[in-house]
Amino acid sequence: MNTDSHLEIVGLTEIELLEFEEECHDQVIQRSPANASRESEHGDLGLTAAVVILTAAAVQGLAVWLAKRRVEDIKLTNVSITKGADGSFQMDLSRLEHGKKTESPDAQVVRALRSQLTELLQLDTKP
Amino acid sequence: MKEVSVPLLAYAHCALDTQAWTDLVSNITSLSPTTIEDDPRPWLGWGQARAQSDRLSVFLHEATHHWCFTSPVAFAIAGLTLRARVGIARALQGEEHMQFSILRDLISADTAVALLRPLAEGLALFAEFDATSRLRSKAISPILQSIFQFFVDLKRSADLFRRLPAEVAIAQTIAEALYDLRTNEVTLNRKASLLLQPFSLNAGGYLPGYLAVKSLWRAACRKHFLLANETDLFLMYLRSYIYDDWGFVATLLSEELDEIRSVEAIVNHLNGRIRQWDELSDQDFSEYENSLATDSSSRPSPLPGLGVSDSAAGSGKQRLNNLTSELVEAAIANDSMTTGISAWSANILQRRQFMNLASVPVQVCTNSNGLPEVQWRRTSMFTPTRSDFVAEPKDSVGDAHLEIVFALIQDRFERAAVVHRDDKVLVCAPIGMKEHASDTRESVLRAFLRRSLVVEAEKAMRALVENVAGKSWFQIPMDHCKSQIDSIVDEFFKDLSLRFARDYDSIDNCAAKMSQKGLRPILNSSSLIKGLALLGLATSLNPQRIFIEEIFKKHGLSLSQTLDQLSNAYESWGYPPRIGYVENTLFTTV
Repeated sequence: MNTDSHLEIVGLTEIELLEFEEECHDQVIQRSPANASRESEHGDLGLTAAVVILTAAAVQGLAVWLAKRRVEDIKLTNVSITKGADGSFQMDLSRLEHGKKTESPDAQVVRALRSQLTELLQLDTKP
Repeated sequence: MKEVSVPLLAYAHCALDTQAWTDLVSNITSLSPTTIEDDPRPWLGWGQARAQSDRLSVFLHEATHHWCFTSPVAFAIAGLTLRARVGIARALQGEEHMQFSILRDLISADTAVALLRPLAEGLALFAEFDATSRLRSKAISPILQSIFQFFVDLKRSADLFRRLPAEVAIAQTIAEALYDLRTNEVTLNRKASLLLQPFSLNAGGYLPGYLAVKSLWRAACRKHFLLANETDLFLMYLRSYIYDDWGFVATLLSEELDEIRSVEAIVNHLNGRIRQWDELSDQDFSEYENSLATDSSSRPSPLPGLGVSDSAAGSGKQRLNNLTSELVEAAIANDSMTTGISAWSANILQRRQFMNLASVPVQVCTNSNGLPEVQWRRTSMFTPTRSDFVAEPKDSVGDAHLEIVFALIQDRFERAAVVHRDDKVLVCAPIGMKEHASDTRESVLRAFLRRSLVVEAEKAMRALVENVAGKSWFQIPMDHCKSQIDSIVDEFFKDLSLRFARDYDSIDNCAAKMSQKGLRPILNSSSLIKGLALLGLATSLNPQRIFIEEIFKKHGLSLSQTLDQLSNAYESWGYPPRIGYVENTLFTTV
């Protein structure tokens, strides 16, 4: 496993970030600083971003989190993953549908998502 | 989780750029791209914007800002900012004595914006999550009325209109739109995310502002119990109490030149108004509601029941008139820079009533029948009538820009599609009743400024002010005042927002605990935070326990478990306030 790789997840609401953290248990997740409005602008509630070190546990957490949102195939949904010049990845969830959730996702879906994520994020899963 | 900024996140603010916003000075609003990805078509018809609930949330939020900023208090704050800019132009041309009044105007405007920002956000969030009108309501806020314009499917409601009187059918269709909004996952997500915002003014003041408005609502319900259900009436009352306060206008525009005394007077005034809130009576709320039920042209100003004396109102009106005249007169002064800035200021004040719903590039083409039509992405949007053309139809053909503007003038909504090329208006097509078309066209054309010009010019003006202030001696007193204001505002909202905590120790402890991650350290789990959010959303629609239980089931949450856990949190922290039970109904302050 390449422990130097990071995944930045953008387009999260605060509650989604908390739910993601709850799926990732002991993983270290860093967040972006809070946004600040200009003096006279009154903005809408913003979205946030989180950075997680790419580990097998983080990918498992992410797969469960996505499966609970009824994402079954990343390639078919509004989730984009891009690789930066420094080797880190960015996942944009701002266009993800906020449909009905499930608290008990299908284990097969979780496995399939984990496998897709492992491939897309170029994780080395060899022992 | 660590709260750190890492280099990787240097560009992460791009996600935040998707925010909608409203600018207090120009009152210009941006609803896109979060709402409809620049597709302007839903804003042209009736009820066509209903497809996505997050669109309604954003609309309610920004429309509430716009409504609040179309008020004497916001007009006065905008006027102070604009007068400071004119003063800077004069000072740059040698009138050095202007510096003291520039300093006073800038600091007064900054203080008022800082103090009111949490309340502005709180009101906007209350409109999203709480405000509901009832069938017996004597008046409906323009915010909920505008739901009927854009977010109600009239075909679906046709049967209601056949069976019921129009006012009842309108109220019913609005209630249905709010039910759809507040029971869906997106809104639950949004409100739960609000509860996780920092309890701090540095983060936009969302959470302190929302909790402050809910505290004021709970206090008002003690005086006028009908407000427990008439949340839309409460929204109108609080908006008027704060933003239609001519006494506040008088204070903001006082002739006091000392900036410290001006700040003190502004803070003391708002403090006094919040203290006065507890002295309001049942009669005050009733008088206010009755006055809203009358024709707008015969309504007194200030409205009754707001606790504003006639002398304070007279003084506020006089000072605001003087300020407006000052700006208009400066616009015709014989000095190019001052004249330019003053003329711009006068234009900005005139256009403040219009909310921008959409702004996109379009083409004016000639269709197969030889008639000019407006196209967006090569699809026909509308065919202007002859009277819609401001320029000659043949001169209008080609690339252009469309803006859809919207305003509540008197008791009537005005909406128009304006097609322009740079600063030249080509078409102004009113949307709505034909008998009002001519008046609407006239008022839109009188005040129209293209949106991009307003945004760019406002940016340039602000940069000029920052640049001049940064290089002058008054940056030091401005910074000093700002640091003082921040701590005053923090303390002010701590006591107001957490007023219904168990005791003073709970207020202090919870304010500190909530400063970074909102209610998370108190409630711990995402499911309890969502439970608390859903409790508020569901009770806003119907406080009956049986109804709320159904909504909880729909979201896979347990009402009884949520209530037990909230009770435990109260035992431990003294907050959130206890849930009220009256027979089979629930009452929550969050």
